Amino acid sequence: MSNVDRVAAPARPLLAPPHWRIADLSESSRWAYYLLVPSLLLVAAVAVYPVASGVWLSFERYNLLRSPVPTFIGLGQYADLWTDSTFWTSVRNTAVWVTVGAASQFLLGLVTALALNRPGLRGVGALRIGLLLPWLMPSVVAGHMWSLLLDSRIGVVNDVLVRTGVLHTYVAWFAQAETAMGAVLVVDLWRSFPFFTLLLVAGLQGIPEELYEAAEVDGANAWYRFWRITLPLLTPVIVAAVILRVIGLVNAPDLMIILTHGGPGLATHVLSLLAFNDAYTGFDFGAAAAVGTVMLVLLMVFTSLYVRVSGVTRD
Amino acid sequence: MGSRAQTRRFYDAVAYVVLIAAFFFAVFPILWTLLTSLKSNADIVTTEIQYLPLRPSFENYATLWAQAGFTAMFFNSTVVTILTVLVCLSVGVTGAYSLSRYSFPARGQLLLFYLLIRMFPAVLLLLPIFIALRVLGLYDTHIGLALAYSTLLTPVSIWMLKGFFDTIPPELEDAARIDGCTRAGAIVRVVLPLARPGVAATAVLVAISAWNEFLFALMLTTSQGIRTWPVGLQLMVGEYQLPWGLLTAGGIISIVPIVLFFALVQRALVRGLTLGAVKG
Amino acid sequence: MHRRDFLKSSLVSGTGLLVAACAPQAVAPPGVSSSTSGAPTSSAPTAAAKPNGLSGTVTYWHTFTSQSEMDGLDRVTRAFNQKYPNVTVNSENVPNSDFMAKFSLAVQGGAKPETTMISSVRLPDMVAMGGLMDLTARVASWDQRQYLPDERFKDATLNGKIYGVPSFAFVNWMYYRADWFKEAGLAPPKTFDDFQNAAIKLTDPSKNRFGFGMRGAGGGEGLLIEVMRSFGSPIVDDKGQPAMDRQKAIDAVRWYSELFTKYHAVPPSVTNDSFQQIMTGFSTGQTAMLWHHTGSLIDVSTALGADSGKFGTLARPAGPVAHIADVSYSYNGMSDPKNADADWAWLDHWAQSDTQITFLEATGYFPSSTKVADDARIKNNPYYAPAIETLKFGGPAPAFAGSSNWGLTVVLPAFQRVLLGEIKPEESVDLMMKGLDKAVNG
Repeated sequence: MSNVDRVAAPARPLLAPPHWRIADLSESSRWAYYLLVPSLLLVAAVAVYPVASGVWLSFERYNLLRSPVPTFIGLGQYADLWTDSTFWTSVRNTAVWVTVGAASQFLLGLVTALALNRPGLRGVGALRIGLLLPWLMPSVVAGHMWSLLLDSRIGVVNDVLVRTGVLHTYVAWFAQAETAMGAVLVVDLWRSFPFFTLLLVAGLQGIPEELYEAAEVDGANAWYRFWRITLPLLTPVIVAAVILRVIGLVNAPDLMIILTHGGPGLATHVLSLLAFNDAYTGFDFGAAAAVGTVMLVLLMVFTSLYVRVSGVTRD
Repeated sequence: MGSRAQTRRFYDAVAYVVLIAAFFFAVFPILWTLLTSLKSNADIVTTEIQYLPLRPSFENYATLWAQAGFTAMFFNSTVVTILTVLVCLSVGVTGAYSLSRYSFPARGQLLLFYLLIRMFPAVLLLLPIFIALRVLGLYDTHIGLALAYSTLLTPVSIWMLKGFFDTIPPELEDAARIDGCTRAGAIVRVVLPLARPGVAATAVLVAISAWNEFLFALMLTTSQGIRTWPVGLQLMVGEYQLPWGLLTAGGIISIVPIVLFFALVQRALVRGLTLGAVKG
Repeated sequence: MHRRDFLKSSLVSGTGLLVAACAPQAVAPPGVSSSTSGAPTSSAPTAAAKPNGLSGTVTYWHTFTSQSEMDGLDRVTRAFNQKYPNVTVNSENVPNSDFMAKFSLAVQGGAKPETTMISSVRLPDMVAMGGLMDLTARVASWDQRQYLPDERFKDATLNGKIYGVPSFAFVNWMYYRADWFKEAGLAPPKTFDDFQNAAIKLTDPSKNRFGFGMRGAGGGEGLLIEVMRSFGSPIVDDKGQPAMDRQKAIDAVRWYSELFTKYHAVPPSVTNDSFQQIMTGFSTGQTAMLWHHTGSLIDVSTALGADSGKFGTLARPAGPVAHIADVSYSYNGMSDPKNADADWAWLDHWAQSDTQITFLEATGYFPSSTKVADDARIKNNPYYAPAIETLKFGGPAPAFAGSSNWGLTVVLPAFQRVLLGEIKPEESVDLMMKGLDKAVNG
């Protein structure tokens, strides 16, 4: 009560000038827009030109080796992609990679967040840091460590699985088409679930205890409390986390490059790898821009639909 | 009454099982990284896998630290990360609050617009940003790299922070305003304290992303200037060389500062004030 | 350190030769060393200008990684600083896997380095994007030219222009488990038939032994291309047009892939085995034979023991039509003309005998200068003998603008799919030929 009282009766001249100005500013009808200015400036100033020129590049032929002067060719790059079997394989692989990846990472993140959030558990601090460690590891180290862990000659995971009788012989996880994608998904699950854990734990903290207590008094069981209280209130955080993670999965080829580089064959070849190869092995920036634009469109569609369906921008 | 306590204990037990399994899954590879960093190369590439190092030594760490430029790279990464977190939080809190609380035309589209720069593969953004930094004279400077990171991480911050702000009922601010608070005052006195876990989580995630970022760091810095830690790690991997001991030592060194940062920030992740205290 | 000990220990005394080879080069003024170049010694471009006349900074991009390489670079740089005290060399270490990404960005963004290390496979791309300067005139009137035969410049020559100066060489050869061969009573293989025979005989699943550590991931495409050429199928002709022989290429792919698919003489992890993995396989006693080049000699001998009798080096076996082994040179070139004379002094320095020997001592890398190759440290070292032999028939791998991309994104996946049993050799060759046409003709 005393805090609010103090705020309730400020005498204007007693307040320090900057505070006074911001306080005044915040009362204006344009406050919402003023709040947006800093971030908009930063992002718009830097985002608009690169993305626009990137998309424009997809309508041009621009290859550092062969056609170093960009020339407009309309939908030529897209026509090339349409007839390129590698492109379609990459699309299929990306669909698997993103769906299974995002779902598995979200579920593990949610489950661990719920567990961490339980009041009265001991040793949660140490557990929390431990769970976060995979996300802290730089990709170059994480990628090479996992290729060592799963190595078919000196890999610890193989050794343990053989000693415990689960496997008969060492398996070359990344060398077989059937297991390569699964193995990379496990590595990314390890690396990325803490992203969800961290965000969801923070989000769960925002749900008032009183709501649960009231529900318990009314006789609601754990499932009910979860579905009717936790999930709905957590939705804004879930939507933000899922969208950000999906964007990361679609756009970043870092783990894939280290673990399999799209192989064996094309078993783990995804769109981000196609764009990367086009740009930095083929120096065909026009083609890379086309793949990038396809990825952009897919992500835009997904994000708009998901945001609308989940209602987070509903007023 | 008894059965409710029983159900609670049951779920507590389930929680422990889940946490310990997940903890094991998360920590085992890190532990292996640590063990590998204490071995010499001859003990890593062997016919019989050595679990515990037969001849543990900190030689890899010593070599790494003595190697030219590593302390400098570490320092550069720290400075760039701190700058990035400061920019992203200040710019992110204001933007996210507006998008969370106020409805105005094109709000949905604006939210999507912020994500635009993240939806395009980084490889294609490099040239424009490279040229921009050179033109501004910010190429190979801490501020330049932090700005480049901030443009990528501000959208992330805004989306995350907006999500957290959305979970705080606006009625609380209305109550504060009725009591005479300005809108800005309400943000500072009501929303931010309640959103502390969210702000802390966002700060941690932005810090981690900035600390580990490789591609922009590679392209926008040089060894004479502000080359950062992840580039140093990548430099260890040559065409014919992969020094497991050094690389893993580098990885362990890499996570120490963030673990410390997280330990500091950890208490903020737990909401200090409860709703009751503010409502009065 | 290991390397110097190794070189010394496997050497029959040749120090007398060494001194003779070294002495006159120490600080030879331009024109004094037996020069037949014919250019007047007083003009600047002949050899490096007067030591104290040059000043400024020279940036040098390189991909040296290991301690020994960095040590070598350090020593070479210090020697250079003694010759040219007013020139500062700023070496910029670029991660090998990201070199071309950073270079292409520098070219596009107008921030090229003054000098740079160039691997032979990257040269055509670097020239095509306008990243390298034409050095033909400087090389023509250069006093070190006599020690660098024409063929060593072949990989650095495009359309008659020279873009790089060779600094050291990687000679493709093979390693084999001499002890296993002895045990099985086999002679080291000289032909593809011998090779296949040995690979099959030395495979013993019960002992977890495989005959050949095939490289089926990144870098493996180069080996496959060597096999195709050994079977008589070139890749491009003299004019740079696609010239693959479909039938011969199919025979090659079939022969090579059957080592795995039919005879199981290759470890099952082949499609994910890159350099790191095949080295591990050979070092830990999983494989009997390994195809790589002279650059890894020190690593192999450290792992298996230099004089243990466990391993030996050998020239690559001869194919049914041709005996092919790639010899690739690492070049140094100029990118940005800002400080051209100082840049050239740096390039010239690398080709000098003392530099080459210094670097050889530190890294074991094969020198590019014929003068140094006569050095006792190389001639009398039995491990290097197959490399010297290979230099007689080996030559550059086919490289053209876009060849790296073709190899990595077309040839390798197609071959991996044959290994996986997804497609037949015929289909894979068709894919490769189609991709080759696209790479050359757009």
